[in-house]
Amino acid sequence: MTEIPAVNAPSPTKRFKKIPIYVVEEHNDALQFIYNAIGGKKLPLEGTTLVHLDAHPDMLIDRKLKGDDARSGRKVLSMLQIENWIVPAAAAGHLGRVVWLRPPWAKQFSDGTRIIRVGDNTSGLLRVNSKEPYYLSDALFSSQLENDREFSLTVKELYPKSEPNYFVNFAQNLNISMPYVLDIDLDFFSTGNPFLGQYESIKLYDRLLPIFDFELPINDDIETVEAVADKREQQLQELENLFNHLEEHNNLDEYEGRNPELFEKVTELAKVIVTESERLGEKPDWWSVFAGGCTRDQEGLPYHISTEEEIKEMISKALLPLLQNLPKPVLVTVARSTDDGYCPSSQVDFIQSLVLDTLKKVYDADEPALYYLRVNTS
Amino acid sequence: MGRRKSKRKPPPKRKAIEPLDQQFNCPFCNHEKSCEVKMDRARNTARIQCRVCLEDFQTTTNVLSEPIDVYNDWVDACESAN
Repeated sequence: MTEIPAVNAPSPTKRFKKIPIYVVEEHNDALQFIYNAIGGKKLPLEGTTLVHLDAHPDMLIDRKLKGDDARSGRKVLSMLQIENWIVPAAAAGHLGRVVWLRPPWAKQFSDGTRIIRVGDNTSGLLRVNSKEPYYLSDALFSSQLENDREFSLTVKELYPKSEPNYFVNFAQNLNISMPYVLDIDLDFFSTGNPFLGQYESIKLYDRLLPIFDFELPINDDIETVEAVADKREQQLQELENLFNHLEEHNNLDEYEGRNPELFEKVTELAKVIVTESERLGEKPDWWSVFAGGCTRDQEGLPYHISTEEEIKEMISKALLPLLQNLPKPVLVTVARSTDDGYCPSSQVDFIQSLVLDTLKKVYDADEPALYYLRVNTS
Repeated sequence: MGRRKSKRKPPPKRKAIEPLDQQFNCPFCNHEKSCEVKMDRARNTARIQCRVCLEDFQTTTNVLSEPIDVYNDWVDACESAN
């Protein structure tokens, strides 16, 4: 891992009178407020740091997203999903550094700082040069990038500590420079996995693993990694085609595919799901099964339902002392992530209330803008 | 460890991002929604003018600027002049 780079972002020309706090439901909706701040000259056009507390990195790229669209300004906002909203902003240069602070049970990236190059592959699609499993498992690696930029990604575990000096050193080591955006997903404090309960009686989540699983490259030679990325791309595309066909026809009788092995596996799975759906008296949700499968490579999604005491401790002994030792952000975004099942619905309001109280305690902030109440996301 | 996905399929026409204002009250004559913005994206500049009192203002923009940002620049310039 490399040294944490100094990100030189030119100073913006204007300042908010008070720190704005925007609360959204789906995490990708946070990006519009960052873009608004750049458009309003409260953040520089390039090089802002994002400090991102979350149980998920949200650092994927939609495999069909073109680099031109990522660099098209606000047009990209409507193309983003919860898992892929950060890297397009880095590809456009608006973000120069991402700091992902993770709870102990989220291990999608190893701790440390790395430089990632993001740009267009030979087909114009947005890709990265990172060989880490997180990107390889979504076939997002490319060694040949055009219109590319670099950004740094720092990953660090954040957990409650009572020692008074711990967070002084923690913040110093992070070396966060202004201007930056503080971004908090409430599922950082208690993390559900919406796919665990799906068709639970037939153990669907376990059945998805052998279909969606893939093997990491045996070494990190470019040729080997590219071969794995190509194979993975074909696997994911074939699976998407199979599940799109199922969504349209509810069976695979007339499906014409290229991979007999996957066809056979999905056909077997589909039979079990159709039988179970009939028993439950509902129509199979093939999209949801496919989405669940996409989360099923390697170890699956993080899952940790915290107790009320654990949540209080994470806020009073991790979030609060961290914020007290970091510089003040230009703006704060908060994502509830509960409609998708990532922050438990029984806990989200409790967590939100504690987090917003903490933000008000530490910052001279505006009354939080509850954007999620103004949009219907369901 | 796996990658987060939304359980819900994105609708074919995905939901719109919150629309931003396009017309504004004039800081000089106070007419409601009388000011309109013309963005010159190629030159990274924009001009706002009140169609009632014809007061106008020009400012620099960037790729993420919207009409509301031009109006806010105008209001800020009025405040600092006062």
